[in-house]
Amino acid sequence: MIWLANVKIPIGPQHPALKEPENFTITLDGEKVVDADIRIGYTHRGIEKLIETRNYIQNLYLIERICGICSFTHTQNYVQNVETILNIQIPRRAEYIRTLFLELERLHSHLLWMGVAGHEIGFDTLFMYTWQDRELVQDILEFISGNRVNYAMNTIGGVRRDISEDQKKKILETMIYLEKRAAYYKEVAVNEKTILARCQGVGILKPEIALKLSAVGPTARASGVDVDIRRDDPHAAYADTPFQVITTDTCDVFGRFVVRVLELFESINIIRHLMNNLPTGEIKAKAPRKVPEGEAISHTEAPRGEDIHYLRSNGTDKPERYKVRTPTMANLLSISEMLKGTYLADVPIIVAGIDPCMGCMDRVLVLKEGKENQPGYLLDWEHLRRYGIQWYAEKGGRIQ
Amino acid sequence: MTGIVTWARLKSPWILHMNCGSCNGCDIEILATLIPRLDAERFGVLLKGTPRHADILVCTGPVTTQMKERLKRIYDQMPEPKFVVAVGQCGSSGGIYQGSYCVEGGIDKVIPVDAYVPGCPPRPDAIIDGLVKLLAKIKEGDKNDK
Amino acid sequence: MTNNTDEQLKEILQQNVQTDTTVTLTKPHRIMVTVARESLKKTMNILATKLSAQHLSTITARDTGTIFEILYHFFIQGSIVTIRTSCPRDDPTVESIVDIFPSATLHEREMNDILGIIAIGHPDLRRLILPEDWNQGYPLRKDWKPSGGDMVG
Repeated sequence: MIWLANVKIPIGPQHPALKEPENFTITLDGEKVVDADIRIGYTHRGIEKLIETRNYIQNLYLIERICGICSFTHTQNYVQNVETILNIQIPRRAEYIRTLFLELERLHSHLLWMGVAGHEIGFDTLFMYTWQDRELVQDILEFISGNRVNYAMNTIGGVRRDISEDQKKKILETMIYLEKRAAYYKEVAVNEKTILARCQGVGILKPEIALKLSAVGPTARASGVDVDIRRDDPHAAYADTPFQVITTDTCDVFGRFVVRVLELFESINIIRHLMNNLPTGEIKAKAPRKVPEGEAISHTEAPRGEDIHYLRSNGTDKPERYKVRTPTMANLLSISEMLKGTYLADVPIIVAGIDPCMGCMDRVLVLKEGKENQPGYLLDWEHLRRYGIQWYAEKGGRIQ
Repeated sequence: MTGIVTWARLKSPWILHMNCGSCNGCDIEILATLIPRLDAERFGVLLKGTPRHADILVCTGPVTTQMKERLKRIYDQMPEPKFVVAVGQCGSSGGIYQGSYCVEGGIDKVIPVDAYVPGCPPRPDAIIDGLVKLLAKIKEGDKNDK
Repeated sequence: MTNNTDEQLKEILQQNVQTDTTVTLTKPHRIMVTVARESLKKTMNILATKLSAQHLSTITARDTGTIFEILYHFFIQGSIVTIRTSCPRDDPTVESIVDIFPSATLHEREMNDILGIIAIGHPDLRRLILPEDWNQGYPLRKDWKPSGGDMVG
């Protein structure tokens, strides 16, 4: 067994679970995490400055590439902001297609998260299952837009591609299959011993702390905080779409699992509603290239929570200032709160629990305290993951 | 002896995936090559967590200033012979982020690259195709050495 | 939520704020409050006590060329309430609001990083997103140029 008393572990920068390489310095007392500090910015690409140097149409493609998983939410916020300042009304059909994409994105993102969470707790079967089903969502996205990841669907004034009857039929057929699979995952989430053993009571975030630290999305909803931008400040076509906001009060990783599984059903129902009530008409309103002086704030419910953008225009064809706050940024403070008092073996699943965007499960450098320049040995993320699984196996074989 | 080593390397290329500031689009597509639909493991491809076990470094992203040194360090830790695949438009040239103050612009600005897979992001089948082409290149290069 | 709540929020804000403050409803669900730098802390206290605001979405700072403008975006009862304040370029400081809204921690660090606006009273103003050894100034200021020349658009 590795000796781990009184050590500081910098995890990252090749980031623990997922996207946005970030660095967690975790202070340990034996097995327990005493403190966790976060350093981000390894993927800082200077997008906010780049936006100021490009015109509004070019920026669509740049903003889409803020994140490869929730790319549509970002462009959705951007076009909402620009449309607010231009004061143009976009066609209803375009609103519905946008909402469809927001929900398809949520479906694929949640399936992706479940796979990653399964991987982190040593349950790779779940990873293979959910990612296989996720491909079906990707197929729909590709069928409509021609792209699997960055769809380039949104444009100022509407959307760029229409939905044909054939596509509608295929979407509805896929939803029937996905609903069956979602029911299966629900079964797995509440009955599977591996998940119960590794997720229940792990990574506790109390409701009052979640509120205080402004947690968003499924992370907040799993702590019983009833917040959902789709309902509280409806954008796109959410105002005339019936759906439920899922909350649980278990406040742990298990709760986050359940919230995401149940949200799959809500998304499937929303997509059905949208497809059955799709209005006819145009999909795009004409928009000028220059945007008058003004400012706008827009937020949407991304798969990971509230995503807020601010735009300030100056009358030219380039923005004056653009600000983006992604949901992961809002949940970072909550992570360090969740990590305090837990075991090192639980770090992977807790960090993955907020769904910090996919990317680079990699290495963790273990340093003996006081000798920060002389690495003791290298412990990569894979080892830490296996260590977690083994540690639990030794604790009375709680997982098989 | 080298024949056996090359044969083994061609049949089981172990890869290390590294995100150097990518938007994640390429990263999820790389992982999507591992799922049953495409099953990159049938080529013996295995995703490893540490550079010391890897033959091929699969990089994504335009290399941010902060990741530059780290990318070099990872590359140095890999055993010889080593190969690098740059996945995506950003990895190939800096892509859409070209000209930013903290982006180097392409993996080949920092370490030598053996194969490029263009696309934003490339489809998983394109990534597998890139890997297979790299393997063919290794085989060819080995013949020339003899 | 209806626009009625917007009006109510606006009224509560107007009743409680100082004389140097204006409250406007720019569009449904968007309330803009402009305060002087000196009364920022007081306004924040009013938000926390009278409106029981807890969700600070983010802080946006921008360089207008003559002053720095700082916007605090709150999400209160279905509306985005934005508190706008400003500081002169030769004295880029504001009071930190971390003691009232702990979620401001990261946003104030970011603001310091990219624009050089210092939040006085922040317990830990380390670098957040720029490299540790960054010494080329504040990239989001309008007069900033990268060391290698102009940025390519």
